[in-house]
Amino acid sequence: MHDSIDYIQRLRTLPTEAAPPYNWQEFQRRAAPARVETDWRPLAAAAALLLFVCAIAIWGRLGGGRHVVADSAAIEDGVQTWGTADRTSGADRQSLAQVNGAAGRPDDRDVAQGEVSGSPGAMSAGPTPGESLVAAKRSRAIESWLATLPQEPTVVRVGTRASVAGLEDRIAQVDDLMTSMRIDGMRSDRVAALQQERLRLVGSLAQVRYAEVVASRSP
Amino acid sequence: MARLTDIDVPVDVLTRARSGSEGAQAAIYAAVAPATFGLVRRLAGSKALAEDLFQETMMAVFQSLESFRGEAPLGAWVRQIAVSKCLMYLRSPWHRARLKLTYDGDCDWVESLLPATPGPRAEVVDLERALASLAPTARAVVWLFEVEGYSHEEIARSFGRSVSFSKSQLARAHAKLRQWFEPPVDSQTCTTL
Repeated sequence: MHDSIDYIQRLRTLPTEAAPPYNWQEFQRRAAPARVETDWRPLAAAAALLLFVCAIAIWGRLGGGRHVVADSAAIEDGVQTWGTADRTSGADRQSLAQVNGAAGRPDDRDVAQGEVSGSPGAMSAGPTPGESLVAAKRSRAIESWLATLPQEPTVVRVGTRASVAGLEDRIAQVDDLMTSMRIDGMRSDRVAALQQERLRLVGSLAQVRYAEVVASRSP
Repeated sequence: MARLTDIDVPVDVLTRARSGSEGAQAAIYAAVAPATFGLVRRLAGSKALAEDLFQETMMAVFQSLESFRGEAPLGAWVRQIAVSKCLMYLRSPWHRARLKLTYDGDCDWVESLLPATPGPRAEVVDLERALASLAPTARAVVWLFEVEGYSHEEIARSFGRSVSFSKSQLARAHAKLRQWFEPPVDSQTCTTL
């Protein structure tokens, strides 16, 4: 039996040392990762990278990263500007004007020629095969510009969408008609007239799509 | 067995350690590590926890060696850091809850504190088991007050509590230790047939 007063004295005689769990080398090895943790450089690099990625994402979201692959025919027509990734709506407008210029302002031409699509006679008497080739190039140029526009705006207006769908349907019909006429070996002047019609439709589509894009960007 | 407060190192070793000499730092480690781990082990209880706290203590020692002014022995300064680390752990609510869940009066860890040299082993084991039977906070208060020589004010300051907290913890711990060493005599065992 122990004396109750004595146990405090004996507490003071207990061993005060214990074998440490590891030696100096092991202590240094264990302390090394902790020192690395206090190094802020990797964190700063990661933060900078994150910031860069966010900036790229925001830039892309605002439409800055749009790239346009220029059509070779368009370059031949001297309308390279719309093939070099214009980034503002003003640049889009300029591109559209240039495309329309390259396309010979199809609407005006239609007025001058007098209802090309409405009269088969006018179609047969109007464009020559050379003009058909030019119309095909201009049509491709406008289509290249159309490809640079966003596929579909965030806010869709029913009327505009219906116009776009109608024009795309009519272009597809004209394409089908031209294909069948070529297969049947019909007169080239009629194909040229269809090419002019196609150019007019593509020009109209470009204007509607441009208006749609501008409307979607406006607040 | 050297007490931590008695351990000191020569000034030139200290100077070289401050300037980054690995040999001097190793010498300091060899001088203070056993007593530091003994103290930490006594206050923390569990071996795994003691190893973590020992690592933190030694890292703090070498990181803030520049701030050691040399007014007291190096061991006393190291002891202050070790006690601060252990009590910071004990008073944290998160770890207190964990200790409450894991504390089951396990006395196996006392074996590692037994002296390697032959001696009154049975008595030492008895004392160690009695200490291990206390709750971590009560054990820390008893050890700091009775063995390390802390005052109630110092203990209260270290725990961030009042002086009466320290006194009541000590009183309860002594009551339990007395019970350990003088178990109450059960009168019913001596009933006549």
